[in-house]
Amino acid sequence: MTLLQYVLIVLSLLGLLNLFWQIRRGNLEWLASIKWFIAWIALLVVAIEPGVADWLANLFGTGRGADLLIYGAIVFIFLLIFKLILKLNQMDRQISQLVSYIAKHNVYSKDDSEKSDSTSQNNTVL
Amino acid sequence: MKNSGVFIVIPAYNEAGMIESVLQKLLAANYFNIVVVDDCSRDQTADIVKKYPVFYLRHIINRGQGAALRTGTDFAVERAAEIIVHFDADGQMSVEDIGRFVESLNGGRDVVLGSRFLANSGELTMPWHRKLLLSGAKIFNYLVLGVNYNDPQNGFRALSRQAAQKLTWKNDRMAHCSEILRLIKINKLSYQEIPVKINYSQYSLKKGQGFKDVWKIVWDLFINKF
Repeated sequence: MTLLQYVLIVLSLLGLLNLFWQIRRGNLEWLASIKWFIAWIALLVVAIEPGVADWLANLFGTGRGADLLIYGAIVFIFLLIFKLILKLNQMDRQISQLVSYIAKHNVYSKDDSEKSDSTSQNNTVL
Repeated sequence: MKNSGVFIVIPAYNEAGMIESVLQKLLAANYFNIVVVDDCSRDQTADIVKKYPVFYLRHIINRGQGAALRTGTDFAVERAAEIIVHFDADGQMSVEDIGRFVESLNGGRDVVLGSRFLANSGELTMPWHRKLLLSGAKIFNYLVLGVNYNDPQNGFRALSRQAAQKLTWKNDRMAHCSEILRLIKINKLSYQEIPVKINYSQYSLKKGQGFKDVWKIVWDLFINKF
């Protein structure tokens, strides 16, 4: 077993420990927990038995296990960025709602008497 | 009294150059329920607007034209508006056209949309690059969003109270135009397109959409699907 394998085994075990800790504290949703569990287990399996990565690489047609890992990582990063963009977009919408709320509750209007035909109910600076 | 249920919603961002004449024309035409949503202008827009008997709402952060229109429309609905007209602050829309919008809504339509491409709409005054841009937008709206309107990027529109409550667009910036059209279709609202005269000036062309905005609009429409 190479040094890299030992490092990956320790890393995946630490990852799993941290995952269980986060689940115990209620910091992760169940879907996210399953995803992280699969990811750490996959890393552990590949670290113990590198042949699995080569077998998968042949299955996907990438040739080498390391290449498959890189491709997988790129796809994962793309998905992560997309998820972050969606989250930012959601926050952007929430900021708009807040700004709109503040605007609607701080309306400035000149005195009613100056408005010759208004249906306004509360023409004051709030 | 005339026009009492008609609310004119004007989004404004750094419009000190034209908004005064726009407000004067609207008030002279007996539109007294004017809602100006100042989208965090850094010029004299606020000082100018506050001189007139209008409702002045201010976004404390710039959120875009779509967001400003939504704020103004929601406010008008809360104030028991029967008809909500979206009108620009740059002086390119004609106050005289509003009457025909109101007439059409009173005739039972849910939404009335202005078009620069119908007969008598003053199409000839439009610069060629704007025509090209709008033709592209029309094709995009038809192919991607499945909506076939004569002038999809025209911001001159009027909504009945019921339509305003149903049209809850998400896009804060320029993509709201296309989204509103899609929502009209989804909500099965009745609509009519009527010719409007748009007076292009150096001022309004500078403020309007350009080719650089196209990708932003497409991206916003895509990302807001999720």
